[in-house]
Amino acid sequence: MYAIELKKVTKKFGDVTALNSVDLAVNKGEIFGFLGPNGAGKTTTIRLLMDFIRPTSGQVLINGSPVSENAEKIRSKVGYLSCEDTSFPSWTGREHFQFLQKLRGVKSGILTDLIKRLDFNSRAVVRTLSSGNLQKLNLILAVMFEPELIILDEPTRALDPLLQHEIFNILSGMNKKGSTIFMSSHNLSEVENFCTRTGIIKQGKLVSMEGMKELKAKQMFNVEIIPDGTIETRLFKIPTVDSVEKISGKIKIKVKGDINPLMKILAGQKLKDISIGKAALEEIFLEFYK
Amino acid sequence: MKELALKLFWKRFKSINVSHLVNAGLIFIYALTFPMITGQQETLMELMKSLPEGFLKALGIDASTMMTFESFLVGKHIIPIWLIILFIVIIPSATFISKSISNNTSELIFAQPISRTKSSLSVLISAILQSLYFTVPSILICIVVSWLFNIDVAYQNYFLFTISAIGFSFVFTCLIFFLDVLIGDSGKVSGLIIIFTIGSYALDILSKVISDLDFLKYFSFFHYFDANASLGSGQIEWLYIVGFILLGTVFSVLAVWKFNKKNISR
Repeated sequence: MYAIELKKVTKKFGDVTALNSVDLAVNKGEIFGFLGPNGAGKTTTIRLLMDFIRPTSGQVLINGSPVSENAEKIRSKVGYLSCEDTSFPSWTGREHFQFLQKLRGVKSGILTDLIKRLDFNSRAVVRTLSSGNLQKLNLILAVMFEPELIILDEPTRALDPLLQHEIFNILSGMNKKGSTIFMSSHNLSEVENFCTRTGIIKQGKLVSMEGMKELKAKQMFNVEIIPDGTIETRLFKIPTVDSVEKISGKIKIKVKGDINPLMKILAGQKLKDISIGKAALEEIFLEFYK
Repeated sequence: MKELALKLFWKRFKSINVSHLVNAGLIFIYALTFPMITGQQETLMELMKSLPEGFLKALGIDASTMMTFESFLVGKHIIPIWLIILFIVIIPSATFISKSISNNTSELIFAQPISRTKSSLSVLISAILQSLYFTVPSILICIVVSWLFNIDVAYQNYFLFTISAIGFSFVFTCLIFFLDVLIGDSGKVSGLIIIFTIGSYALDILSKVISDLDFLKYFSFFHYFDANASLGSGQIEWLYIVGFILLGTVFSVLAVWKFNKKNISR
């Protein structure tokens, strides 16, 4: 039995097809990254999983049960983080925690620890919180009951790198205790570092299911160097280098996949400056999933 | 279910209390001016005789109107001020679902282990509680103010009016809740209710002023929620109260059924 299963799921909004016959299965205990550019259908898939919207056709199952038929039982085991703020502006964080604990009829055993680890001020009224603190609140609300299945829509949105690291530590800890994590993102590197398997969605269609090895092979880097002297561009004629461009003293190198062979070549050169940028997901999509 | 209903109720508790203050303040003003009106009863009676009968009927004014505080309240306060305050209380509570969808708080609530039927019923129950919390005390305050100003109280009239007002606010809460689930836009629902109320008022006046158009009264809710009859004259049509409850129940069932099929996210 899968933690999550989508069987030939199609969702239409009027004439617009947001999801087109998507088949997807996530095993229990997995950390599954759901990648796609903006508007690809990630949030629609997640909203179908949460039974906020119903499929036009197909079946959405969590732990083998259709989500629309067994909502109460299923949701008692699910934690959810929306891609948008879902908190009540006039309440404090503490009021939110109390409300959910009363609604679920259980006390969170890890709430104090989460508040401490994320350095969250639970006494502040939500409307006074910064976007980063709002995201902390929404994350705590999603995981405070240590759910079996954690569904996260862009979890690191508005968080600084240190906090992103802490969030992934918390989630890893929960995964080790048995939680399945399904997380959407348009950030390839965070999926690459955290997830065990990925699904790639584009224009409502699942275009690929990949392990991390295959995904890493699809990394793209934009390397820009300013040589101290002259460098022959033919040096960069290696399989992972896609293109080399010389523009007014600078050399722009586009790398597909492993960056290490290029780094080895560059290590033997005298450089004035170097910058390495990861290609945006949209660029990678254009390259690999045309 | 209870937790959600109560939380939503407490969320609006303060704003309903403000409505109570406004209502109580107005009742105080009417109680202060009432002795002056009764003191000039004869002059007013003469004045009324000079006005067209249809005009007086349309406004629900007759000779007895100025004789009791209850009738005075009907003409001055219940229609339309109390009614407007009631709508101000009911509309935000009964349109919670569409507002929570538009501001995304719906995703926090509906991600919890509570079925769509239970969550929608919680919202409805909370809205009914809020309407009751306004309706009953806002009528009771009239009795308290009457005591303070030594004005005679027709207890039975207040009792009958309270029954009628509870039935009316119940059916309106359920109607607004149903429209909110159906249309999914609190602004449009408010607009529809305003148009419906003004239309009902116009039909009621037309039916009273033009005798040939008497049948129009059946299309106006003022015919079924007749404050002049209950609070002014101590009469009530129990069939209408049963009608309010039945109609309200039908709207509720339809709303919950529709909510179960609806997309509850943007």
